[in-house]
Amino acid sequence: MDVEIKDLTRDQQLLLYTIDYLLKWVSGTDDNSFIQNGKRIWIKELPLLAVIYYQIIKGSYETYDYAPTSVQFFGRSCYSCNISYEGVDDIEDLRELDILEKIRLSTAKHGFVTAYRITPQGYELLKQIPADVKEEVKNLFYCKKCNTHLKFYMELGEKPIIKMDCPICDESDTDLDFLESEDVSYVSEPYFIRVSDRLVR
Amino acid sequence: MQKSDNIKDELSEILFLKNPKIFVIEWLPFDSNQLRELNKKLDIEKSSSKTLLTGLIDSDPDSPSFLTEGKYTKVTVKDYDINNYVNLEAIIDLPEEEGIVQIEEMAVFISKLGFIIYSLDLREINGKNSFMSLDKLSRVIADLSQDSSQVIDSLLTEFQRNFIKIIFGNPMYRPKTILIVGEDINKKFEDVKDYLDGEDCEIEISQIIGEGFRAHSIDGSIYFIGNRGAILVPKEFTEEMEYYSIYNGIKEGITIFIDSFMSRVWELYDQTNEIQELVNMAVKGNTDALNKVQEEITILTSTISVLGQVKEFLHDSCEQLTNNFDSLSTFSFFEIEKGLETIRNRVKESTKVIKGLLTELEGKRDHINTLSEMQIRKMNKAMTQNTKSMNQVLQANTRTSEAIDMIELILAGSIILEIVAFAIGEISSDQTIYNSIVNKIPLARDQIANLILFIFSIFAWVALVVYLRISKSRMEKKALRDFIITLNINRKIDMNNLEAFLEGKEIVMKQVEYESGNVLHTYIWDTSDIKELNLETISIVCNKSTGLLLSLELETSDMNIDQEEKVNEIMEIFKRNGILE
Ligand SMILES: [Zn+2]
Repeated sequence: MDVEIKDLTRDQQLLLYTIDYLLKWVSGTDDNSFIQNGKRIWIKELPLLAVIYYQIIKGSYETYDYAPTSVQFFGRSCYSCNISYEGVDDIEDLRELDILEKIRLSTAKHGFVTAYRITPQGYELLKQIPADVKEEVKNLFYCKKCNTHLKFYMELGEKPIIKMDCPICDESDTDLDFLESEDVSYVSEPYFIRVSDRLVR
Repeated sequence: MQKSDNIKDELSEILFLKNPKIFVIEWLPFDSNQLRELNKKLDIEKSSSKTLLTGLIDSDPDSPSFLTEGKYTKVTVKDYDINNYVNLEAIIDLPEEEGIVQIEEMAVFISKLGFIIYSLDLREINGKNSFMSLDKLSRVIADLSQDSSQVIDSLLTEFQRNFIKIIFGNPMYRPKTILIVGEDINKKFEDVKDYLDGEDCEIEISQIIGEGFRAHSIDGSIYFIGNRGAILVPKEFTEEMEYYSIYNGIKEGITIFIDSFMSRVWELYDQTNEIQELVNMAVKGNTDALNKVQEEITILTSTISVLGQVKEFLHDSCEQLTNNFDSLSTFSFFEIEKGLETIRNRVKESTKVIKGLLTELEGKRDHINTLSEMQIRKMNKAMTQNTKSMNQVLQANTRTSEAIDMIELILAGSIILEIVAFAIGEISSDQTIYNSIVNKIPLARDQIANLILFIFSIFAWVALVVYLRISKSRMEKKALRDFIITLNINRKIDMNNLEAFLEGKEIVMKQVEYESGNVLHTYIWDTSDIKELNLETISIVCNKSTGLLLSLELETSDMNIDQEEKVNEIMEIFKRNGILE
């Protein structure tokens, strides 16, 4: 399937470039093969979604929303994460267009982890990404003070934290707030179920 | 105008529900005993007055006052069936960010079958009533999922909290299932499949009940059923409707619990396999591995038996839920029976796995115990040999030194002769018996006195030698008490029984050593009073952190003691006192 850059929406272009950026980020290389010690590098879904959320609240995407979604970590504790289903949807669309490749691995702790990488066709498209889209991505993940890429990592402790740090100074250290729940005001009244006796006999 | 939320993004809201009811449903290990405990806590039979409860446990039951930390939930008993369920009203007062006002009141239904239903009528979001967007609802649900954990926490028994911790890790953040029932929906499609547009509608529904949900339209009612919950817009929310939708939620709630439960079971399966690695190392003679594997087996066995108990709760609950269920074809789209059947099969499967794991661990434990006993025997043997050769060296030494001793003693004895000579002065040659015999002179007084003196001197000399010899051997015997038998044990012991045992002993030394996270205790007690034991002192070293008896040291003055027999005797004593298994 031949896809041209104009077939992608701006948000999809931004998403693709973000994935490329993340892969470069974690591999520390500009080389498109993304092979480290003879192994291919994939970007895991959860940090990718965390980055997308961060981009949304910074106003990068035109059409993406997000909503708190409970995610179970390693089949244990369940936290509400700010997941963008528009983002999830676009990832799937890019995969169907053979721009992204998806892998699903079972983990040591009996959960599954999904990860992505870019196909050769995807790399052809990346060459045509408009400069303003690239700028949009770079601006967010660059320490302006040190003129360097921010480093990105996860701490899966009591409550998982996903954040990014400048390797040189601490000016740009940011928590992506992926697990921070947003609150709304609301009023509720108890609703007493009518079928108690029928449910428990 | 002040913002009544802290949403960082402009939401594009598509779907709205009219006057939604929200149900949060979960399953926790419960039975009639747990329910009785709960009734006691709620003081059910006395009154239905308001009870203040916090998420904390009263850490100081003797104190007349109770401290709370600003957030609390108020719980009132609404009605109950003493053996089956309790219906509560909960008012949640948790501090929120400025500008955000939450008047959160819900009903909490707790049943002996383990399912808990938190249910409420949502009156307003951000000051707006009637139609409420799914986007905003998802925020309310995130809040409710957490707050509901808070409400129930103080009502659970320690026993249940322990289960929850093992299954979910952090007990405050556990997965629950959602049921939303709206009176109406703002967007209606001719064909219910149109909600699955792959775009905004589908996304908004997925956010709440999970991707890949099913959509049904039956007699003007709309149902969306997903793996995290369901959104229903029935023409009328009848009691029938309520019964089946809640039953569906219960089924989902147990499924969520079983998913996590099975994760733990498979994790333990892996850990049991990993232990084999340690067993192999122990077989090769690695003492650290031997100690570690004994510990790990103990921990794993106890975790597995906890899971075994949880499984019993699951099993009982599933059987009853299956038996109680009234099947009705109108609501067959929920696929409740199929779900219950799957759950029962999974519980059955877990029974097999848990049983298998326990058998396997038992086998490993036996293997390891044999191994550590073999190690003790091997050490005993080596020790006996060591002592034997030491004895031989000692005996050779003793023989050499005995000869020297004799000469020393004889020389020491001659002092007496010197003293006698000194006492009587010079004896001239004509006064000796020798002189009277050689010169054939009859024995005079002088000669007889000299003879008596001579005989006396010889006696005194012999007496002194004998005396010195006896006292020397006494001193030697004292010095020989330092004969010590040392033995590495490395076996699990009962610390409490050991402490009780030591209480009656005359401890001559107690020592505590901290060694890389381990606390090593050394005790030495005097046993010289107990004649039949034939030991001076017994000394043991144990690791209190792991509950292992590391080594044993016996001090005796009996050079010819049978060490193996002695060690066994001491082990017997430990066994009799419940220190060793
Ligand atoms: Zn910097």
